[in-house]
Amino acid sequence: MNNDSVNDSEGAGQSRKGGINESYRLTLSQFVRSYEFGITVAFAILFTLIGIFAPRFWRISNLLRVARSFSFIAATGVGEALVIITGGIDLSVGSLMGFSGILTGWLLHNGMSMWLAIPIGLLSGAAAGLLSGILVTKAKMPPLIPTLGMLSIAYSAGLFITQGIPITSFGPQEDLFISLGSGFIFGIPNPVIYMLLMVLIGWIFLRKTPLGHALYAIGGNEEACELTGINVDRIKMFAYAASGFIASMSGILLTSRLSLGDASNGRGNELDVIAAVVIGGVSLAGGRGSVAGVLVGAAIMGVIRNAMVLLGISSFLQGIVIGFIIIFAVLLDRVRRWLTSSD
Amino acid sequence: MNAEEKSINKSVIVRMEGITKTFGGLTAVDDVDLELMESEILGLVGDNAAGKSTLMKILIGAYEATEGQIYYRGEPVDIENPHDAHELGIEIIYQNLALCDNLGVDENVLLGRWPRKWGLFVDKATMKNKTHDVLDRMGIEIQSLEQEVATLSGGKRQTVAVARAISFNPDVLIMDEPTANLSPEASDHVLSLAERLRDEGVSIIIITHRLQEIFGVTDRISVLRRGKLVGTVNTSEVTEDDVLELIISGKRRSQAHE
Repeated sequence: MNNDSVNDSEGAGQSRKGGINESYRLTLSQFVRSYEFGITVAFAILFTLIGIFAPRFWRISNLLRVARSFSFIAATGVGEALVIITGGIDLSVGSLMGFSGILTGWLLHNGMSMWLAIPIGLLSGAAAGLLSGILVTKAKMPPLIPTLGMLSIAYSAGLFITQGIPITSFGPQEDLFISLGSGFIFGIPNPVIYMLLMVLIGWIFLRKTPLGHALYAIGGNEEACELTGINVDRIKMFAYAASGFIASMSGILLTSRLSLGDASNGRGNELDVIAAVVIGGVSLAGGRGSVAGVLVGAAIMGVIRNAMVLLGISSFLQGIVIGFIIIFAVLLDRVRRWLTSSD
Repeated sequence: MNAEEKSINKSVIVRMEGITKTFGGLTAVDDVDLELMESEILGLVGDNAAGKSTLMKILIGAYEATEGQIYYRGEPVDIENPHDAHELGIEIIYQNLALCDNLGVDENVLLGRWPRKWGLFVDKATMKNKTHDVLDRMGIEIQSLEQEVATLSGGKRQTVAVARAISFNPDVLIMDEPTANLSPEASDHVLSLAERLRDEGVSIIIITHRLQEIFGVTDRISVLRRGKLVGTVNTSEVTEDDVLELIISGKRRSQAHE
């Protein structure tokens, strides 16, 4: 059926009001049918079921602990989402978390001021991300390659700095540094506040700013963006740099929270981060998804992990369960893409 | 009165002179002279490898001509990249439309030029109004501007692509196979849109290999065959068969009989 209508301009003018009403209705129905709504419902069901089988789950102290444990994943997922929305992927976030934490920890350990050591740690992640971005855009590498290389480089560099011996003392400002990750504000663990802040910033950035819109546009049709003069390369480089920067921020906070600078911090986290992003509805094909979804995605994984502990299921099985969830989420992504393309 | 004489009455906006483009040993466009008049629709026809798209890519700066010169409003110009063409007021609508399927109509029409408020945020209200203005100018109605382009019909997608080109206020508009993949009704809409823009003073080149569709709307038709311009005719003075003969044999039927 062909719905095209060529009216005279008066007709189009009159219909303007109706068109906007229509769009509100569309927005509401879009929301109800949206993936984010779907996983939020799934999360609520999960939340209820776990509590029924293991009432301890609902205790505030437990919930805050769970939220703190997935906060690093969710926050890092915000950066990862920026990259995946452009149609790329960043495998280096886990190792960059470890490396930046070690670098900042090592600088503190050697007496550097926190106000210098933390920015240096953050910059190291941003620089590593920027390098990946340059290799993706200028050397036209598939994103897997430079970020996989960066995963290895950052992990090894972390091991080299520590010589395999974890950093456990953080110099003259040790107490202040450790309080960053271990402290509370109004009873809420700092990492949880950090996560909520990152999600809020990420949400405003993606939904409201021209740069955020450009990320979606690039994920939708890179060639079209180039033709209309969007600086695709620069924006992609920004996404990778931002991902590295946010990974570093999470890594430094994790080091503070654990009072431990070690190469194993964050190791393998890239899988959890990517899983949270994908479960949260960010399409690996690019162009679709939101950071609100990432928050729910990370929460679903965190809650399932916690439930397995509370229900006494062997922790060795966690990987299997999470693995199936990741596969299921990607399968869902495929089905969604198939459904929209056949419209 | 032949085509060349008629062209004197209207002023020439684009003149491509002696354009040759070779790719390695292959000559895709061979010493072509092409003129586009102010507010006309010029059909550029020829079969698949005739060099139509290559010639137009030279005009919009996607390719560099091996030889030849382009004149714009009488002045020689160097169009080295799409940005140069854009600055001159030349826009192209690609066959594959170059839309972001995941974005709404308004986001696509103003792709990369989203209006801002407070310098920092996308101003959605202004974006909607601007898109409405462009669509109104084209006499097109799309119910929801937030609707994802992926969910639109082929004809409406074409409309969105035209709207984006029009939003730049171009003087010259190139439409690359605008009716490909469209239903006959949707094709008619797109072509009547081209006529409407021509009447507003836009000069339009329609690239196509579906001669019968554009025959009714074009003022003149230039025929390319194997990279060479084999003729330009006033549409009102010829039949479709005459042009087909040109496309196939490179000669006018009347000339062939002489």
